[in-house]
Parts: sequence; structure tokens; C-alpha cells
Amino acid sequence: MRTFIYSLQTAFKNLWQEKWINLLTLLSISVSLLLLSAYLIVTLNIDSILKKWSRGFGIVVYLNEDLSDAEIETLRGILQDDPDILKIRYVSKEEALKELEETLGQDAPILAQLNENPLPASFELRLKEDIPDPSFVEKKASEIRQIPGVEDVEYGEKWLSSLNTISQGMKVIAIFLGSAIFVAIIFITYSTIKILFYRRIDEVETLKLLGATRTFIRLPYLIEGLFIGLSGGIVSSLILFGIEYFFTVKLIEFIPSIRGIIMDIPLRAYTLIPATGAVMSFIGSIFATGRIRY
Amino acid sequence: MIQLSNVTKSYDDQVVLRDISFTIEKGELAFITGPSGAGKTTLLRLIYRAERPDKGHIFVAGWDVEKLKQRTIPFLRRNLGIVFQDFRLLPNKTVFDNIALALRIHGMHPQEIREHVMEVLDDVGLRDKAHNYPPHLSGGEQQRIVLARAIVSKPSVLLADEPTGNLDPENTRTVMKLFKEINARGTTVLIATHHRDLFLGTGRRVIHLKDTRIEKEDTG
Ligand SMILES: Nc1ncnc2c1ncn2[C@@H]1O[C@H](COP(=O)(O)OP(=O)(O)O)[C@@H](O)[C@H]1O
Ligand SMILES: [Mg+2]
Repeated sequence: MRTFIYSLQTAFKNLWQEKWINLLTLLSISVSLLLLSAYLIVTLNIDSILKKWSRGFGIVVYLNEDLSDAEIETLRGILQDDPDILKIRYVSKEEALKELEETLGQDAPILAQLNENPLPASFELRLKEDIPDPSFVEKKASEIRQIPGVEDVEYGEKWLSSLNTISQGMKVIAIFLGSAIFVAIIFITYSTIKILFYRRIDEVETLKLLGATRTFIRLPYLIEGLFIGLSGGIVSSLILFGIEYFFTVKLIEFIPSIRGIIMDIPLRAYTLIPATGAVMSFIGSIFATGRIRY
Repeated sequence: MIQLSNVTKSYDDQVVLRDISFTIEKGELAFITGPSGAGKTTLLRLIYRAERPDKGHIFVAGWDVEKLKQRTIPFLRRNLGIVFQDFRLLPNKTVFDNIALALRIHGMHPQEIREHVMEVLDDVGLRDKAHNYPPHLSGGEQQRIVLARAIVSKPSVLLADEPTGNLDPENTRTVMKLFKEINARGTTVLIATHHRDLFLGTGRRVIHLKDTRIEKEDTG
């Protein structure tokens, strides 16, 4: 515990002594984290928009003309037992016609010329997943098509597959960018702490000869790295908060229409960013101080 | 307390120490002497495990130095006080902090550290220099600070490499008196020096090194 307090004092003395290089490191880390956060926020926003769009997505199961009520109920039962299906809505022939009339509006009287209702009854299905894998939906559709009493199955293939591609693509990029930036932060801290450590290599040698343990020697540098990463993350969070404030409070006064596009940054992100900076920098410092040999 | 048996040490192809054996008992004060380059410093470095012997065994304060794990080496060194020939003072720390470091490594309470450091500064007569930085002090003063750092933790063994190399006769007498006092308190002391004056007339054991070997042992 005393060693920890002493290391803490030493770390802050060293931080102050080398304030310029430390400040530069800190800013590099904030910029990296800011880039990553900005990308993630954009991705989350787009993803939530995609989800909103796809909410209308469903599979429509058209039924044979001559099904009895009992047969329709059996069919509903089969669909209800399917764990992938979230919601089922039955649309009778009459309801289908009414919906069509509503859609047509002024042109609805055309329908009056029909002497028989040509629309089939159907089940509208919502799947559990918001943006499901297209191949999964295709498999599901053909499964349902096999069920007796089903005339046809329809769903928005092209639309779904492009939504899915965008969503998956953004996730892949996020993972790559995230890993690249994690590595960058580790490396930035690594090189700074390495420089500072080797600048004091004489001191390290002396400490070793006086009987200092590895922990005693390394701890100040680990604390230094941790602090730089943490502060870098905090700076990042503050800038991000400033940007968000500008968009959500100031800009909306002038351009109210952007309200729907901008999503609030979750509060958790503001603590997650400094934590990420701290952890990555800590790892960098561990590598930088290396294995101390006596 | 210190035991070497058949120790041989060479750098590259040059043999520095050959087949060295001796024992220093607990509570003894002894000297190692010999011309410059005889291997005195190397011998001390072997004892505090800064070098490893090519052959032979070394025991210090109950530890088999050869078998020490990396993790345990610091704990051997905490039992030793070392006066380095090249001082090894940290230039960016005050005299006080330089000496205090030896105790901080032990995790001692800051208040206790203060008391111990001030006491030892009194012993070496440098209390008024506590807040100076080593580069601003004379060679003799630096030498005494190194000694203060070596003894402040009350080690069971004190190793001193040319501890009077930079001292005038008066300071030499002060330092030698300190060595005797520390020894009288029970610390085993081993001093490497090429100054005959230091051991002549002391009546203590002197090990003479010459041409890589122990030439003879006598009393000063
Ligand atoms: N690290 C080293 N590498 C190569 N040779 C060394 C090294 N240290 C000491 N020596 C050689 O070992 C011999 C003994 O040196 P040293 O132990 O310093 O002698 P002393 O302290 O008695 O003057 C010298 O010839 C010196 O050049
Ligand atoms: Mg020497």
C-alpha cells in the first residue's frame, strides 16, 4: 500500500517532468478514441434507422381459396409453434379488400365493378430478428410454402438483402476499425512509456541493485500509462459531449428537421471511452516496461 | 556470512578470478585488497549477484546465490548494504530522497523513514545537505551519502567498494570509524580497497588478490 502511494507520487512527478511528450500522447489517444466513437455513433444511428425501416418487414403467407375455419386455425397453430416467429396477424379476404380500398382512396370505386373478391386470405408474420439474414428468411419461406393449405409465400427479398448487407458491412468495418484503434493506442502508449523508461534506465539499474522488486520499479510507469490513457479518454468524452450538445441543443433550434436523424449518445459511452483508453494504455505500458531481469 | 568456494569468473576469454575460496564469518570486518584491475569489484559484484560465476558456489546470509530465482534476488539485496565504486546516486533526487529510497523499497512508513534518514545523515555529518542534489556536492560528500544509503536500512552485510577513494584523510578517519561502529552493532563488513593505509594497523583480516588468485591472507 505504501509502495502504491509512493509509486503514485513518483508517477505524477514523472508526468509533470515530461509534460510535453505526455500531453502529446494524451492528445493522440483522444483523437484515436474520438475517431472510433464517431464511427460507432454513426453506425449505431444508421443501424437504428435500418431497424425502423425493417420493422415493416414481414413474410406474407397467402392461403388457398377453399380453406375452412378449422383448417385456418390448424395453420395458425403450426405457425405459432415456430420459435422464429414473433407475431402473427390473420388478414381475411374481406379485410384484405378493405385495406386495398383504403390504399386506393379516391380510386376505390373501381373495386365495386368486381363482382367477386379476388384477394386471398393471408397470415402476416413478423420474425424475431429485426434484420434477419436473407438466406435464413428464404429457408423459412420455403418451409412454410410446404405446409398444406398455403398457396404462396412472399417477402421483400431484394430490400431485405441490401439492408442486411449494409448492416453487416458496417459491423465488420466497426470491428476492424475498433481493433486497429485499440492496437494504435496500445502502441502510442507503449512507445512513450518505453522512451520515458529508457531515459531512466540508470535509475532502474540502481533500484534493482538496492533490492527493489519488479512491482516497485514498474508501478510508477504503469500508473503513468494508465493515467495518460484515462485522461485521453476523458478528453475524448468531453469533446464528444460538446459535439452532441452542439447538434442536439444548438443546431436543432435552426434546423429542427434533423431531430429524427440524430440519436442520443448513450450515457454509458461517456464512461466506456475513458475506460477503453485506460485499459489499452495500461496494456501498452506493461509491454513497454518489459520483463525486468536482475 | 559470506562464503565463496572455488569461484572462477572470466569476461570473454580473460579470466578475472580463478579458484577463489574464502569465508567471512558473521560479525567480522575484513578487507580485500590488490592492485587496480585485480578483480576486487568483480568479486563484490558476484556476492550481490550482479554477476554470476562460471564455476564455484557463493553463499551469502544463508542464500545460495547461484540458485536464486529472479523474484528472490531483490530480497537478497535488501539484506546487503552496498557502497558502489561509481556511487550510483540519482542526480534528480535530493540527498534525503536518495537515502530514503533504500527504505521506501522496504515499504517503511514515511515518518520512520524521516527519522532513520536524518539519523544517518548525522552519522556521516551531512544533515545540512539533506535538500541538496548530489551533482552539487563534492566527491567526498557524495561518497558519504552513498555510505549513508548503504547503512540506513541496517543490513546484515555491508559491502564497500573503494569507500574512501575520494576522501581526504580526515573524512577517511570519520568513515573508517563509522565502519567500525556499524560492525560493532553486528553487521558483517567487507571492504575492497587498494589503499594500504586503510587496513594497516587495524588488526583485521586482509585478503590479497593478485593475478586472478588469492595471493595471501594476513592481518592489517
Ligand atoms: N563487464 C566487464 N566486461 C569485461 N571486462 C571486465 C568487466 N568488468 C571488469 N572487467 C575486467 O576485469 C578485470 C577486473 O576488474 P575489476 O573487478 O573492476 O578490478 P578492480 O576493482 O580490482 O580494480 C579488469 O581487467 C577489467 O578490465
Ligand atoms: Mg574496482
